[in-house]
Amino acid sequence: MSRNIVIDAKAIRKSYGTTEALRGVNIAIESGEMVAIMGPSGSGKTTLLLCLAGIEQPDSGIITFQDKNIPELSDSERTILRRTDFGFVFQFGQLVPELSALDNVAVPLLLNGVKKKIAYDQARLMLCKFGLQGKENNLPGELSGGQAQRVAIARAMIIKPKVLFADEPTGALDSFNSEQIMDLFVSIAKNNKTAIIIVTHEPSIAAHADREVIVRDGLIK
Amino acid sequence: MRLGLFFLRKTYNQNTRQIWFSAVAVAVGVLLMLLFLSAMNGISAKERRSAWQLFMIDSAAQQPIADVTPLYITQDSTKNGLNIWGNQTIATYSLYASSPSSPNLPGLETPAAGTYYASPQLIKLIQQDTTGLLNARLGGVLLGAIPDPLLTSPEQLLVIRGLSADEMQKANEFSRLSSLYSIPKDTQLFSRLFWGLIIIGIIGLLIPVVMFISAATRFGSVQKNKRYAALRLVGATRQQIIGIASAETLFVVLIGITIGWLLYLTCRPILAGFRLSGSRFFIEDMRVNGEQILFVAAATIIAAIIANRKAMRSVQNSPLGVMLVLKIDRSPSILSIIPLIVGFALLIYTVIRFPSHFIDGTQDSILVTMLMAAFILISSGILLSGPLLTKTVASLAARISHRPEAIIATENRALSAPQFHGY
Repeated sequence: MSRNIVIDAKAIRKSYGTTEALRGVNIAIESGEMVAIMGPSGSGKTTLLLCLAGIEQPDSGIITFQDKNIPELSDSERTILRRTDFGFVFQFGQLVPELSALDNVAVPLLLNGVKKKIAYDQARLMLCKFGLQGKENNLPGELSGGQAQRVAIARAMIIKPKVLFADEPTGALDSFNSEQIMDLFVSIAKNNKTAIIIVTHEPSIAAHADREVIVRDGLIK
Repeated sequence: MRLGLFFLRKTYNQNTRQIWFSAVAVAVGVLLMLLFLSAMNGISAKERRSAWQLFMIDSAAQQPIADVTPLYITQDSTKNGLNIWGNQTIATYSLYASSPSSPNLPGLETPAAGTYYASPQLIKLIQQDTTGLLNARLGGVLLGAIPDPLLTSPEQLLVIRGLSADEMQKANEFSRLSSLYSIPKDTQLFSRLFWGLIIIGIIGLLIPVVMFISAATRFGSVQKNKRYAALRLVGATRQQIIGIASAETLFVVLIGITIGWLLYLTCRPILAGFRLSGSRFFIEDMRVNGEQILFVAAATIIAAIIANRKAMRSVQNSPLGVMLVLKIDRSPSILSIIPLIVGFALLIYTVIRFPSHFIDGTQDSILVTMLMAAFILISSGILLSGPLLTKTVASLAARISHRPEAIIATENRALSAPQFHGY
């Protein structure tokens, strides 16, 4: 059976000053696959995620997504990737604090030039799908940690991304909410065929993934 | 811009404090510039108003013109202090029209012998003088008030009275005017030095305006950075972020200009009350014209955009925004103080080298150039050496402080001087 590789990274190297964060990492992720990147603090797992997402530029190496080498793309091309094909869920700070849950979820569509009414209808549906009906007008600061993360996931999923990047998405949540969020990720990967890359240091979270990748000293072990 | 307006509307309630703080800062800058221009207009108008009184030095006006019978005019000299009332001087001009076709002062029929016009302020004094001494001193019949355009100040005490031909002949000194002295509108009333000082003043005002706006823009910048970083993360392009930030800046500037304008209208009468050469200004002379308003608006918008772009530079670098804006602060260089020292040295040298020019107002392009250069060097020197001066002063303060909180605060300020100044 042929593998449906969505994102393929080869020989990725990245240094910050004299510190080598990644020292030649190779990784390939398939469509609908959930991969957990694990490792101790400072091992380079977040750097790897940011490089794969085109947020950080690697010093060398190739990251192929849809026949394009991400590091060779311009800033605006990488921005468009984030707007159309990549979704993001981080531990903190990814929601616009001054916008309501509904506005936050509608933003990616509005940035894409989708008409306001359509964007808001879809955002409302998405919030409903993630169990956030009635919270549309709440600001992120008025939501619980779990609710805020679900808003972030709804926002990431509204563009139907091919890859969802999650950096410690349950880092600020209790075990009950963490389980709920992970169940959401599992169903997204299965139902939407979205590749999910999760950075975590918690084995119980990684256990939900199809595959675990350990990064240590800038290398995948 | 449409996206910018959308975000402005959506985030307004959460950013009210920051928006209004920034707007007030802009308003202060606008007010300063408008008051400065207003003062310049007032001085210029005052000069123009007194132009007709300069008939003595206007040889062109005294040249005979065919078919024009001259207007005889003389300024009464002091006679035993009789032109002083209280501590104010009453200026008196006496006229004799040699025929009905003789030129008139603008807006005033030449009074016949035994009659006079008085300035509104003088009429008020006459009415208030219950002893009747002032009225008796002036003599003759009061015809009415001298119109404002002939007065240099609303409180000027001025009498324009009519003389007979015999009385005029007895005057020590008089002029025969075939035309009246007036200054063409495009004439430069002031010296090059004066305009040089105005340009220096405008530059000097623009610097605090930029600093005001810059400081206001930084207020709440962490919150803004978070917002823009979050938008970049979900695919907002740099242009979209610039559009969103520009909409907010433009909104703040428009509110600031409006508040500044209202403050200016409130302050204009106060400014008009300042005395130059011992007298106040006419409020209408302090008005700024359309071009000046446009200049102030354009300068404010440009200053706001520059300050905003500078504050946002780090956000545009990464969708991770505040997570990646950490910069390694360079220690402020000792060399950064050189422009400031050179500027002060040049200013001191200019003052010592050209002291007489400051007294007699001699037009001297070298003097203007040197003053402007010194001022620009000092202004830019203050900006460049800001981190170094802050660090030095804070370090000194930390050294002489005894209270722990003061030591911590001053040492922190010394360490973060470059960040504090936004470099």
